[in-house]
Amino acid sequence: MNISVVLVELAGQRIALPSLEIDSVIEIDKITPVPGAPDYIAGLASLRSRALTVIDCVRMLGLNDYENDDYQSAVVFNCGGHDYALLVEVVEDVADATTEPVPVPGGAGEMWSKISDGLIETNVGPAMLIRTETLINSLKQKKR
Amino acid sequence: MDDLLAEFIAETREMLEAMQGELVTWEADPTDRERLDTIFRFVHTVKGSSGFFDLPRIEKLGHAAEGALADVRAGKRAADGPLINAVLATIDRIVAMVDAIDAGEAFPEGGDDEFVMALEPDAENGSEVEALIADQLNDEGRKNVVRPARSIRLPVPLLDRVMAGISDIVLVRNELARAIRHSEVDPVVSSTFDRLSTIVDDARQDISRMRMQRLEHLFATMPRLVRDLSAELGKHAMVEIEGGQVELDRELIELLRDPLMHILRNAIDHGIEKPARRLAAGKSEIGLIHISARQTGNSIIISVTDDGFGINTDNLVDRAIAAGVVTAEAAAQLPEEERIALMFQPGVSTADQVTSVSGRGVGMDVVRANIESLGGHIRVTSQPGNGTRHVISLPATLSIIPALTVKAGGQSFGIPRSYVEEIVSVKSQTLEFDQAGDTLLVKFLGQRLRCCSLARILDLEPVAGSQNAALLMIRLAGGDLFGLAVDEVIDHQELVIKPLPPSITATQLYTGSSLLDDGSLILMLYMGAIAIREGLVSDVSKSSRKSTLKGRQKAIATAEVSALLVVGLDGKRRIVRMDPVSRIQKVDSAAVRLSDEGAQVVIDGDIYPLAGTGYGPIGDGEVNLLIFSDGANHLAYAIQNVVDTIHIANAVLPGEKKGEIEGVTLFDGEAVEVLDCHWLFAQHDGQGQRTASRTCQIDEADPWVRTILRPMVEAAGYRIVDADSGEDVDIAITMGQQETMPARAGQVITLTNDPEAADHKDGVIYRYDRGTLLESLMKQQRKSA
Repeated sequence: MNISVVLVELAGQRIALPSLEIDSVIEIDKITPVPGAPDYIAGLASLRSRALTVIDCVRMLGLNDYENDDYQSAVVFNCGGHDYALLVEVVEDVADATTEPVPVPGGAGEMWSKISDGLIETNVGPAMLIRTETLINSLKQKKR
Repeated sequence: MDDLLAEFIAETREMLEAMQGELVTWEADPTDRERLDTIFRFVHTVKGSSGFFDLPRIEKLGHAAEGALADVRAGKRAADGPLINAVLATIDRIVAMVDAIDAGEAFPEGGDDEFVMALEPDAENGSEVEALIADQLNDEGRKNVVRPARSIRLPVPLLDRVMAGISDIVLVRNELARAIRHSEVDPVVSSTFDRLSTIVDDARQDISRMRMQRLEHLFATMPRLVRDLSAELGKHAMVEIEGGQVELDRELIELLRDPLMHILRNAIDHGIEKPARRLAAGKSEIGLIHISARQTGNSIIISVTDDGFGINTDNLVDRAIAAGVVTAEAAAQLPEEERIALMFQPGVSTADQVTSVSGRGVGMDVVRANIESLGGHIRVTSQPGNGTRHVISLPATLSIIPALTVKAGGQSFGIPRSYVEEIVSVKSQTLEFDQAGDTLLVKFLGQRLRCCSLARILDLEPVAGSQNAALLMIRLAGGDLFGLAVDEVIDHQELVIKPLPPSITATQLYTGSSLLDDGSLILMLYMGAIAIREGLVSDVSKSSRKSTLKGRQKAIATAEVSALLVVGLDGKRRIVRMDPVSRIQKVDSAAVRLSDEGAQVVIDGDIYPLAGTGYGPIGDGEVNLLIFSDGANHLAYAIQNVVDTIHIANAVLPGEKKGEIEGVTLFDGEAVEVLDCHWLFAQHDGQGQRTASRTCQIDEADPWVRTILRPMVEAAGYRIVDADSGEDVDIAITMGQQETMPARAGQVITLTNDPEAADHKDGVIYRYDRGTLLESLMKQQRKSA
């Protein structure tokens, strides 16, 4: 597999998102909260005239103790006709994946394995691959 | 009819297109029976349809070709060269005629007989036909290249992108506008910007129209559906369509398809009776389903009416009881309207037997849910024995909804305007709150209603002691009313609604989000689902509780009459019964005219009689008026101010003398006068503004009539009708020399210039005999009243 991925840091880990699925990387300044929505929906943000649903992956992974106020960047993508923005800590770089995703040896933990497609090697080291579709589908499963 | 004709044209072309190959094959091998059959079917169908559309020339050609082909099929004739040529030429001619109809052009007269002759068995040699074909090609064949209205088809995603693009432009424009306002800019820049701004607005308007589609697209399939269904169910039904030109958001049209189909199916299956039963009931054998659409303001009303059996509510109630959605006791207390509304409950069906068409119990509940999810509502009324009427009302576009923006818990939200019955300021102190257990009740127009806090529903911290707190009276589709407390009502605006992803819609709190002009986002509340979640509506077990509650409230209502406590111009408190008050209005005192004959006030271009002026002077500036209405007439009553809405619980003691005071009642330990609205109307009847129910026709071409007679007739309370309008009138006034007598007048008065010629018995009056003329007008008035 030789696809281009965007490497980001999320919950202190290196994550790879397929570049083709990513619309843009933005700085988010204002998030409108959505009362009553699950906690991993940080709220809505506007990007020009589009409304983005902002996903907080840290909450999604149930890492409630993980402290990070450093959310400024978000990766924007469209899935199923809706626009989403995934909050990330750092956007590192674009890299090429050199291997097919493989299951993490010994398992990656319940939530990680739901949102992630597996581990890939890139020219700068290993990363968890998250396909946007997998991520959004896992939201549906988590629906309460 | 035009729709059907268009369909005929399209169908003919389609069949021809599919047949092109067949024609060629048949020409090559005239013995090919299958091809022959196909071509025969074509001319047969065209002949039939053209007979229906009254297109005699096409019918004649079709008939001739059909006859010739029938002979070939029966083996009476051989499909020789000349015959084939003649058939093909005839088909070409039919197509040319169809094209001409489509283009709205006249097809050149005559020439048909040659074709018919060529098809005759004893047609001579083929050369004549060849010539015909050649002629046709030269003369009209090429000329009739069809030019329909120019249009192109676009992929929907492209359209959406263009729309998103223009929304972006508008946002940037707004931002730029703010920046320009806040800084010193060269006037040239700002005027150029203004021009740009106007252009952007125009473009936005045009682009939002691109989303619209005529309802015809949806309606066009209905006649066929009705035909097929009624055939399947052994009934005769016809569909009549009106208002297909109404435009609707194209997405709405698609979403509306299923509910409408369902309603039609129901109408044919349950509504329209079998022919024999219809005849027995004195109706025509063929049931009529009328579909109409019209646009009113920002909403589209679609009604589907059938002239069938109506809804058997007893049957419906039995089924609802059987399905367990309502108890027998509760059902017994439901008013008719709510009995009909039972059909919207899941699992209730009136079908006596399950047919392939309906009666499977999935039905009207889904229809209602679909329509409500589009931001609309549906109402069903029925007249036993005479039919059922479904009225669907929808917002004109799916994406633009008139909404109130409100604040709760420090955040802004949108509420569709259609839900909000009234906004009451909490500060106004006209509201009476009561705590009942955990529920807060508010008294509104004599009803105790549940009061919810929006902040609490959304689990937000309410802002304590907001100065602008307001209570929105929310009217749900089912008619249930409740109070929704918000911290502040911000504005009323049209919001462009964007869909939300499933993870947010799963909360059942929001229908969409919207971007305000300043670029901030707000969420649009899903009032229907919120009300259900808060237990504010109707599953019917609740609505029946509501009905018993209503019964109790009615009992209270008979004892208590809601009324307004006002201060008259003399500074004294008076009570006015609420019912006749249609509104409270402030006008400039300059609009008031006082005279010996009484006072009048001009409001929005109409003159209202004004009462209440006898108590004191009207100051400069603004005057508060109560506007009374008895349904037909309006009356203004001047007051200083309104104090409160109250309930008169105590008896009204009749006053001693007849006048505008009906009597006195005890309020707050004080005797307060109660206004007698009946007396007021009786007093001011015949004066000023009324819905002019009487009409008078005069000849306005005559300057004397126009300038001198007309004001007098109008003053007598007539509405002037133009002579050409063809409307029926109560009275017509003609001048003596006029020859044509308006036939459609209740009475004719003839005016003459010659006092000697006046003859009251014949309705001839001298034109300056004011007394007699007025008397005649008044007499007619009393007659028609």
